Amino acid sequence: MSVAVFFTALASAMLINNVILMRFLGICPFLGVSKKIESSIGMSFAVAFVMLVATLFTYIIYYTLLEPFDIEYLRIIAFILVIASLVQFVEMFIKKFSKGLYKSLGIYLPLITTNCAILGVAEGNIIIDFNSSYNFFGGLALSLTNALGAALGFGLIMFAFSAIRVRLDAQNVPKEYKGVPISLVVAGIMSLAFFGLQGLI
Amino acid sequence: MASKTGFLRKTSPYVREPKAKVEKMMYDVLIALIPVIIFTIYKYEFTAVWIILVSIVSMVGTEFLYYKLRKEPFTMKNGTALISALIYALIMPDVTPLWIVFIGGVFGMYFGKLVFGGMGANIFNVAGFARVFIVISFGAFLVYDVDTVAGATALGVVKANPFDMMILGDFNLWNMFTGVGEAGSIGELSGIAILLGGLYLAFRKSLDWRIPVSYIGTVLGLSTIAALIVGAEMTYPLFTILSGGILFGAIFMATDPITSPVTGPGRIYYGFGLGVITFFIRIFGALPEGVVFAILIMNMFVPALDYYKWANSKFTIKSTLVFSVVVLVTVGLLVVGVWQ
Repeated sequence: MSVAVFFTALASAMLINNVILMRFLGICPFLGVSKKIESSIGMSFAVAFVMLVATLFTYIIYYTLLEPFDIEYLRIIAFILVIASLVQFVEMFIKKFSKGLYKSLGIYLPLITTNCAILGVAEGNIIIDFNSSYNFFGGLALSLTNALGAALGFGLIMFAFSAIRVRLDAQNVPKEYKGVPISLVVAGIMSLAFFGLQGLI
Repeated sequence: MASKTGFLRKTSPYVREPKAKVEKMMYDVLIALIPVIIFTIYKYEFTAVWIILVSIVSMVGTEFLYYKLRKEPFTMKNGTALISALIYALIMPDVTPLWIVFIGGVFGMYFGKLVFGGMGANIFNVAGFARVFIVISFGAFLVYDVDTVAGATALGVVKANPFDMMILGDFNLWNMFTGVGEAGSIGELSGIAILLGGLYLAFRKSLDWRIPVSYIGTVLGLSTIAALIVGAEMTYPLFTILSGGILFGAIFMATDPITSPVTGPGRIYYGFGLGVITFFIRIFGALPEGVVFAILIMNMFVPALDYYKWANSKFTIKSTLVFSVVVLVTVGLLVVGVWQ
């Protein structure tokens, strides 16, 4: 397995199969937390963190617990349980050991529990089934790369979108389009534009 | 748009070009488009005339009706809608059915410009958005007409095998520059006509030279690197620039003062991003042409480039460092991608 595989996985998860614009996951924080650039960056870091940890745990649980006992069909329930409890645990841990980080992530961490992008990426890694083409640890590394790419793509789009919203707030948008409607129009156009990257890899 | 005192609130180009008047800039663009339009009509005759007319009717008509129905004061005289309509018409393939031109014009004008609050408020290039909308919605209708003299469009042929020099040899660079014997979008064929318009605009200071120069320079640089790696002939970079819509996009679409960054360095980054995305879509992507997509994608990063906390009108050490890292990563990506 060469470096190029990781490169491809990263770029593909970040740009070509962007979580928000091409797979339509995580739309809730995309619209909810993008009013200010600072909060969108904070949210992106929290999502990146949880996405990596959740991918790590769900991958291990799937291949050491669910698959050997032939209960793969339980994976969505298992993953939801794992992610929710993981986020709670991480929140308590951060609160205890790093007040600064807790303050900056604080509001967003509980929100992420219900972020479908996390479950989508964890589930997607299982569906791609890296495990059969590479060994256990190779698959784990690729899954983590995939999660990192998805998180970077999420952050990139959140960042651009929040800057657009800040600019739109200062403008004479017609009354009936002010706020969320114009944001949805912008999101639609962004998604159209990203369609052009299709097939890049 | 109108405040209680009854005067028209004006935005944009002023901020970006302090001395400019909207009317002056827009009429300059109109004048610069004349050689391109003349060439287009000479080449495609009534097909081109109809496409241009339908496009003008749909875009200008939508804007006119919108403000009439809302009973808001507005001015047609600044000509922004007219220019969007002309650019939109010129990036159409010659076989586009007129009803598609019409739908794209109405939709693009309404959702690309009017819902944002009219002139100076749009985030995305209106013509580019309209074109992308119809490419995705009606892609099957936009197949380029195969010219019996010139064969298929240069990009469509090259798409199959980007570096096959036998194929590249079939396209005479001089023909591509003058646009005499080639197929493609109606307004993008003649390099000479487009460059004439560009020089006029640059001379009148109605466009910022940084965007086209960094855009075309980036594409030149990247294609030279790609040609060196695969051992292609050195006509490949020139071919890349003359084929498709890069010249037209760089001069008439990317320099749109509303949807490009305010600061000088920001404009250079913007042109760089355009070049990279265009070239990557061309050699790696599923579509043969990436100019309009590149313009839309970079448009969405313009507010971030302009954000007051870090936008700077001078190059700083930090920004130069970050930029050079980005350039290096891009070149690395290209090398890895082409090598496979």
